[in-house]
Amino acid sequence: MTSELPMNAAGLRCRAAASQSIRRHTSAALPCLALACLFAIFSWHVAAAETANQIGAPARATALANDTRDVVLLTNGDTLYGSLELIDPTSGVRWRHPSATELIEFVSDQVSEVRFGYRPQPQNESTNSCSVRLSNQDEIEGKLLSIDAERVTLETWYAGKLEIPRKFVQAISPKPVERPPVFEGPTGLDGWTMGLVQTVANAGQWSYKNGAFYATQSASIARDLKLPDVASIQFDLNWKGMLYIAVALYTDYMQPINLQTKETGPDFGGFYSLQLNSYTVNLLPVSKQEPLRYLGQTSVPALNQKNKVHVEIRANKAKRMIALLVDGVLVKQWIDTDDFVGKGTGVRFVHQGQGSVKLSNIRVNEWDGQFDEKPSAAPESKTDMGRLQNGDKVAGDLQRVQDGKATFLLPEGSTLDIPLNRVKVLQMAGHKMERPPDNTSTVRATFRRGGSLTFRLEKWDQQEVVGSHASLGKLVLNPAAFERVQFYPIARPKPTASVVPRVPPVPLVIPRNRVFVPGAGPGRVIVRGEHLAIDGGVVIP
Amino acid sequence: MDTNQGVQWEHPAAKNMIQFQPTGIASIKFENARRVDAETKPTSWFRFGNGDEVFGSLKSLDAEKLRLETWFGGDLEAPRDALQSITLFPKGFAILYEGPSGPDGWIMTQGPKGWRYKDGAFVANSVGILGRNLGLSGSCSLEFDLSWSGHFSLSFILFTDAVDRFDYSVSSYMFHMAPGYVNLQRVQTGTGVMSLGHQAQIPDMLKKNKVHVEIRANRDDATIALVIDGTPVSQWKDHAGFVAKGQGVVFSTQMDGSTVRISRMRVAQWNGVIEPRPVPPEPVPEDLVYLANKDKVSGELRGIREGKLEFAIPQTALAIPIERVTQIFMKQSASEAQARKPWELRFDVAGGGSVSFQLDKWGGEQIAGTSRNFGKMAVNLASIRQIQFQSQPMKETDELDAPNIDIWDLDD
Repeated sequence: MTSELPMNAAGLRCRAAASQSIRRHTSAALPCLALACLFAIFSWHVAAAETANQIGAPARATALANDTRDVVLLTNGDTLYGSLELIDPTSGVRWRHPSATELIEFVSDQVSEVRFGYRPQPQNESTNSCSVRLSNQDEIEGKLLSIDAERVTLETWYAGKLEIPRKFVQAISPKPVERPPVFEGPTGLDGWTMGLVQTVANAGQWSYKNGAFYATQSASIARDLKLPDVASIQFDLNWKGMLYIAVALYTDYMQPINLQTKETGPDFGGFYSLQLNSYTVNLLPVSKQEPLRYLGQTSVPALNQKNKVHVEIRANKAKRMIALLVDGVLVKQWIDTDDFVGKGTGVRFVHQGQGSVKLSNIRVNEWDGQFDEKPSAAPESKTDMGRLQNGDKVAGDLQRVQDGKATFLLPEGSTLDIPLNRVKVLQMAGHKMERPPDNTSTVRATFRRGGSLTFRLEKWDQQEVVGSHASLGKLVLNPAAFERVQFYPIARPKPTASVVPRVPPVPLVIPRNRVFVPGAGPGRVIVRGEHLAIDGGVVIP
Repeated sequence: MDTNQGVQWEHPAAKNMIQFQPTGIASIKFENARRVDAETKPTSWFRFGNGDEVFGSLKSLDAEKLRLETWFGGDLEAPRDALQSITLFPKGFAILYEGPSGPDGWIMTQGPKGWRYKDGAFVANSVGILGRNLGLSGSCSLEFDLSWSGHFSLSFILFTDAVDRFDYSVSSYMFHMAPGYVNLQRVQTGTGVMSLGHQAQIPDMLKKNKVHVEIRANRDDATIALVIDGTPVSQWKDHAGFVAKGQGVVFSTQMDGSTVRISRMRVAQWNGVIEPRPVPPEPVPEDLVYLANKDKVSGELRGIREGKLEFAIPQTALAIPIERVTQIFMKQSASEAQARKPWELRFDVAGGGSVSFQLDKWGGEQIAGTSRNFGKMAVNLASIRQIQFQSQPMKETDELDAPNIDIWDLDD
């Protein structure tokens, strides 16, 4: 038994346990299983809640580089591939389908969303790149030019210069300089080493087709991907049947290792074996002469309920840390209390052969070592807050950001300049923040690189997107920046506490000599100086 | 549908008629197709080399021609060398249900993620009950495609009268299936629950996300057999006799999170004696006849007339009463696949059967065309369940990688 796939042993035990559970249930106690399932789900929610503040890239359906097809989703659940020609709120959605002799025109209110196929994105090489979260939860990315008392100014490749009223900004998260991916593929079998899985009778090989590797029998494939010391390794994993796959990280050996006989087998340098099956994940350091150690197992409901996940592995050699994110959610972070055993920079994928597996969108990047953090809600905070990469916090008045530095006026009156590359997030004082009026938005457009914008759409074609945003004003956007557009009404997330609308009192001037009837409306009457101000939707007869 | 203009499609979300070219269409499904009432039950199942399948009654067979009577196309003639096999049902054969083609007639009790009908299938993402009185009586077979994501637990309950719930107090036979295994329980009112035999393993399910399930219940023998993807998995015998008397079926999902999908369901009533064998993968070198006593004879089938099968074996000629014959496989010669024409469509009809023909005219109440096997023919539009544009035999178009359905199928 190859126990780079020892999931074999552990996984089968797991399956046997599950099968026994079902057997018991089927003999008498049906509700028990339902209860067990509920418990499993509840446990997962607890786990998810614990890690909710540490997230990776949002889970998104990543289009393969060779799949440029768009897809339109209709409100009745129908879908149609093709390509978007035009969205015009008055005339509808114009759609091209290769099998239709003419353009198809859909009525606007019958379309729920359009998802876009692959479009290349420009490399973000700016040192001032950041993500700006607005008070309405829109999130936009760009090069931060400046922040002053009135506005935040961004330079973007998809919309030119954007000036955002500061009162609508909730938080700004500087982004690390994005370096070209260390590896992006697969584009074929060249450069990969096929390994022979000797412990099973029906071993096969991985095959390549349309940007993906497929294995329908036990198979191993490896490559020196030049993993950085602090790395992010991502891929899409699809499977049929039971999932049993082992991913060897930081390996210098391209053939699969039989963990049962590793001491007497060929020499190899140490590596970490990340083992995923339909129930659990586990990580074990593997060295030629050291006994096997499991660093800890955890269950991943997504692997039990789905047939397709996006996997991201983040590793930090210096911290002896490896983390696993499934569909953007951190499910487990392992710290090796011994030395980091990985001796190479290669990766090996070994499929156990219980079903079929598809690997695609493999991407290796340098990682900045930081887990993304959602800005926490602080609606009552009176000061701006800077949270730094090293965990320190600075509270004060963020006066400006200029020339790569954030300047805080501290409570005692002094100023503090902080290099932007040391900042994790700049959070604006909650009591200064306002939510833009949002009764005119017609669409929510989601960026390929994360984040979204809600705005009133005027036109969307293959050249440009034109609309108006409550905070940003008139917009002309490059459509290649977006992976999907959803049409209102859509199920919108409830606003977090930090974005509860704080509509300032609207002063309503009433001549003093007029009679005012306070009982006629739901609002309160507040006398301020020379004028009456109405707080609430008072109707004055 | 027109050979010049393509397929014109009306959609509530589209402002104008959409015109599709036939080469880009895989299939069209029709909801609520209904079978044409016929006076007599078909007694034979004819399968042809090009994938056509027809239920009807055999009138005669000679060296040149097969003559049969069908409920959907009247009397038909086909060249003998196009015929692949005949399965005979002496007491008749009836399709009790084919679908689903809509939620009507089904009882669904569940939460929001329980069973729902969509595009020719029932799909569940959570705990739920799906039931219907299908009029099961006598011996019958139930078959369906089952696809899933992740780990599922599905019970299918046969011969029950409690079609709106999972009920251990109402007589039935209950299958409990999960990836890789299945077991069967007998439930008897007043007596309780008893497992029939051991759990059966289905290792192939661990490699797949989709199987074709077929259950054959023989009331006379009190046996129930399970066939997965054409391979027998197990046969259970109830030594207490066939205790369940209900007429309904229930599908009960018992896990949250994973997706289960049931499609291409067919329930047929049969005489309990015949268990149709699949067409042999290799062409048979001689005509092959299976008899009711399980004997089989190879030789030359000269013809069928006046209730007798005239069969020549090297030693002698036989005249076998047709009621003693269960299945006939015709000698197949290697033949070149004929090029498919763009408007050669395959029609699956309600009540069983699948015929391909070159479209001549679509209009009024029927569709007319020219079949390679039957020549000119017409089919009632209301009886068509599905049209396949690739004209492949009985193959369902893969819908599973639609972006909003979380079941993945290998691209190839």
